[in-house]
Amino acid sequence: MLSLQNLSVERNVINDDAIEFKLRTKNKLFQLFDKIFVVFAFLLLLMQSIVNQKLMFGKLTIILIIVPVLRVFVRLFFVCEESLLLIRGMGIQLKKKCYNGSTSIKFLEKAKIQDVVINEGYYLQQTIYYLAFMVEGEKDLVLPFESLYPHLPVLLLIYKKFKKIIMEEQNN
Amino acid sequence: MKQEIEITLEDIENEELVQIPKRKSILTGKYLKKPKKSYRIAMITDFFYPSVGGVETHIFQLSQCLIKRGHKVIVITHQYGDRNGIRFMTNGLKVYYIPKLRAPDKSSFPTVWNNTPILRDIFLRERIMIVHGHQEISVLAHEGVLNARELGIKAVFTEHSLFGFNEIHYILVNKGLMYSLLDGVHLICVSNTTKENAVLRTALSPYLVSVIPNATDFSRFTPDPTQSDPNWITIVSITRLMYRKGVDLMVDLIPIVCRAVPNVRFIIGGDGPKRVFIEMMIEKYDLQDRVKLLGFVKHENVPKVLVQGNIFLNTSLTESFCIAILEAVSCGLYVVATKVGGVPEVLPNYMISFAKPNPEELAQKLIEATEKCKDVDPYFFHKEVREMYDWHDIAERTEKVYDDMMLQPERPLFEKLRYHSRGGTWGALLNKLIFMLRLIWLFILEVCFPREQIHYAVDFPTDKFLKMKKKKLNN
Repeated sequence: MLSLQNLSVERNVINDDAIEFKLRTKNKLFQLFDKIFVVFAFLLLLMQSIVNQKLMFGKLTIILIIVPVLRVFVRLFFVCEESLLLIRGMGIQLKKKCYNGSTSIKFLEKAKIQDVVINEGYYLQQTIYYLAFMVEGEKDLVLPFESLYPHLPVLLLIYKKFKKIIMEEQNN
Repeated sequence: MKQEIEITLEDIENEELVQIPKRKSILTGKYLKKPKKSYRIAMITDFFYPSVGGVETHIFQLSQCLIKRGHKVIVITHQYGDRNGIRFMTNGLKVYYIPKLRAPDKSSFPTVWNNTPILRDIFLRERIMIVHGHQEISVLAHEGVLNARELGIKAVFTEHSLFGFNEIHYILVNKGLMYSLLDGVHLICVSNTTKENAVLRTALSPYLVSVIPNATDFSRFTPDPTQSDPNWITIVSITRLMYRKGVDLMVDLIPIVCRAVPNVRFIIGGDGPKRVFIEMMIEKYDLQDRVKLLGFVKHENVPKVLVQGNIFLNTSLTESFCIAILEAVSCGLYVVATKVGGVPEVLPNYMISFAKPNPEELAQKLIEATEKCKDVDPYFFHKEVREMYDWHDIAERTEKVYDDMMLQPERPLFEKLRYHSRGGTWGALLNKLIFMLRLIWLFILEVCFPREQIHYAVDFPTDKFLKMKKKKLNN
């Protein structure tokens, strides 16, 4: 039920010095659940209006409309895309985008980044591998992918690219 | 150049990164025809580092010896305050600290189905073959063993202590153990007395119970005759000062011994609720220069305290296998102990003398021991005890138990319902109902978190690590 399965990973090689990794969920804003509710609400509305010969919203119709509206409203604030841009000599840019279009961008300087680490941890009764950066100014570890969790192979790729580009180590 | 790629396992293998285990269908329900050479073991208990005690050191040492024999071991405990998640200990021992409410006596609160998702996830991603639970008071061990049996994983249980029969809390605890051991779980006891006790409590067949003793790390407890004062005969006792450890006996016998032998002095280490009684006794009989109270002694300072003495005193009222005695003999002390539980099985007669748990007899044996302890050779004691108990030997015997377990056939789930027919009409019905509900919960979890989508965890490279360690030591 976590977004472990529903991710699409995109690797955007700009040139030798910069790579961007984008993670997007395949979960859509309007899901099948919402569509069914809305269709039923519409049918109910139709039936009741025909029977009563005026436009009437019954209690069930109202409930069947409110539930998907609330769900969509809450989903607007969920993260739908996270991306990580590695630039040689400069640093890292982390970008998060929500369904309502709002983006937040964070930039970490190369001088302040100490190391990268792949940790195992818990999230909602499942164990997950996550990527974390150790940065000088911050107390906690900085996570590029906070809400969307890719599998270990993806993390290892990013780890390797990070070491090549940012840390500039030739042989791993 | 935009490239929308679905990153798969083949890509990674081409890029020569860490070896990730390939996906195969997991059939933990099937039994193996031949025992494999290296097993994947999960030790599960409530009691582990950072809390210190006999059970914790037992688990840690056993895990280290099993890792050196080539098996893969992980440990599962509940979280200790801030310490939760996944940590690593020496030689790549992985410890999972699970979020679980902690009960006052360091154990945790029992639940019926709260921990099944986490435990199932851990067992499947680490491909565990055998689950080893420790200590009956630990609720997490019981839950782990039950969940493992429902998933079809073999389970072993180790019992470290003795329990009575007559009071209500003992009856409930015995029923709990009986329930956990229903489905072909092998029981390991720490001494023959513990085995008798367990077999009587849970109505098991004694052929299904093994006895494998404990040991200690003898390299830390070495004798040092220069530390003990030659003018005095020093009697050392390091225990938790509570009723179970016989503090009342100590309070009665110290004045008798001090009056009888003029050059005897006592060193008492440890803290607890009964400390007040000892201080009152010291004041009443005016023994401030004969009895020294050290308070809580840290685990690393225990050898230093032991080495200052000539005799070790153990007045426990109940003891299944006393590791403190082994540590004392390893430091070259002569032991005087109460004849309870599994204590008579631990040491040969020339190292220890027994007494019944009443203060007059103990005092008499102590007075006799003050004569005997002058003839004791501490280095001889240390060498003897080192040959008798060894962690590698214990690991080998535990491995034999694992070999036996892997050859057991696995019954289909519906047949396991028959095991729950104890407890009268209503008890049996309730047990069967709970069992069915747990199976339904497992089915729901299977639908939500399917097995095929749980990726395997990457193993710690113990072979390379141990080789690297050896190279560094040689250089």
